[in-house]
Amino acid sequence: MKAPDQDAALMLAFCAGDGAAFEALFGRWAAPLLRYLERMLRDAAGAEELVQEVFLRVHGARQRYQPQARFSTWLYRIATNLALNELRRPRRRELHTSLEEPGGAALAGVGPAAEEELDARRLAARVDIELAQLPERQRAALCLTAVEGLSYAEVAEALEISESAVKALVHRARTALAERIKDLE
Amino acid sequence: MQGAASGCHEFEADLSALLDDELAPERVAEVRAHSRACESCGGRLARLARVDAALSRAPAPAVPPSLRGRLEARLESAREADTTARRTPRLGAPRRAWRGRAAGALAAAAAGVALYLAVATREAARPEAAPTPVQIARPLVEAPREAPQQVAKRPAAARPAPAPTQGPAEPPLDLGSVPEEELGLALEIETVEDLDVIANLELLELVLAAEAG
Repeated sequence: MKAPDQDAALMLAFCAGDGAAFEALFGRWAAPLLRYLERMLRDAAGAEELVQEVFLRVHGARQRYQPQARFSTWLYRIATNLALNELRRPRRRELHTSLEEPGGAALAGVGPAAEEELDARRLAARVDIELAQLPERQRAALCLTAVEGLSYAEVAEALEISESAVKALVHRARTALAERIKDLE
Repeated sequence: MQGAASGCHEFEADLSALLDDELAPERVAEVRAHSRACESCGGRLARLARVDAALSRAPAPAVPPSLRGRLEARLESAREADTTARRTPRLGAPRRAWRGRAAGALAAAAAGVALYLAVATREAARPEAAPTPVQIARPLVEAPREAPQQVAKRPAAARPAPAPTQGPAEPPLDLGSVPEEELGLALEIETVEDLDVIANLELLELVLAAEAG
């Protein structure tokens, strides 16, 4: 049995006029949305803009919101649609990489543990860079599943595709990334 | 060897699903057992898991404190824009009014045609002259009867203001002064009935031209 959707309850409270509930939703979801949108866009400023846009839509939906799906699924669906629209804009500015290949300067101390930590950081940075090269829907499906923790059913709803399509997208994305980071093994 | 390869193919698609906790319990046991026994699939599963470990390593970025303020500013401008839009008549409104008046004029003219043709038919008392006028007049006579139904389907907010009553039960002969609602003139020129009205006006022109000739 699924846990009750606290976010949907907050949204319903907001619909009933409780402004603090909207604040609470922002507090709970702004950071995960920012993480997801940064990964989708590879553009920190653009991701911040879209986070605002998502919450503007949430605010605008207060008159007609119906908790049919989990609130988070609905939120990621809005975010995904906005991100895909943004990525398809013809004159989208050149992406910049916010995650640099990490150097050793930030690591305190030396030794095997520090080396290991540095390797892990390098790997994470490389995976992020390679993630940006994947097709948009593969990227969205993998991020929503492996990072944001949505089930295939929820991702299917967010991306408006079937669950079997989600399974295939996630598998292709993971396999492609695993192949591309082979040299760091 | 061949058998092992086809077996691997069967498991490969489920390796990701295993990491995502999307397999039924009995399938989980099968995939795990195969991955332990098969070096190739075991290695593949480890590489896929490594991707996940790298992906989840990056923490959620800190939300800049200014983001909340910027959102609040945008909400405020959206509220202001909404208030302004409510105060300013929509661009579409005059057009709708014009369309309503145009439809009214058309239907009034059509009703006039119906009367004219009915009188002309009666006075001529020649059955062979009747078919055309009767065919023209029929939809026009029916139009007022259908009107209340069509008006009633509209949402209350979209309904036009109630028209002033015409006093006695006997309707005036001048149909141009009958309220639009009673003639079913709340119709937009988008319905089959409207097309009938327009077609009848064109026929009236022909009849008048023939009479003049």
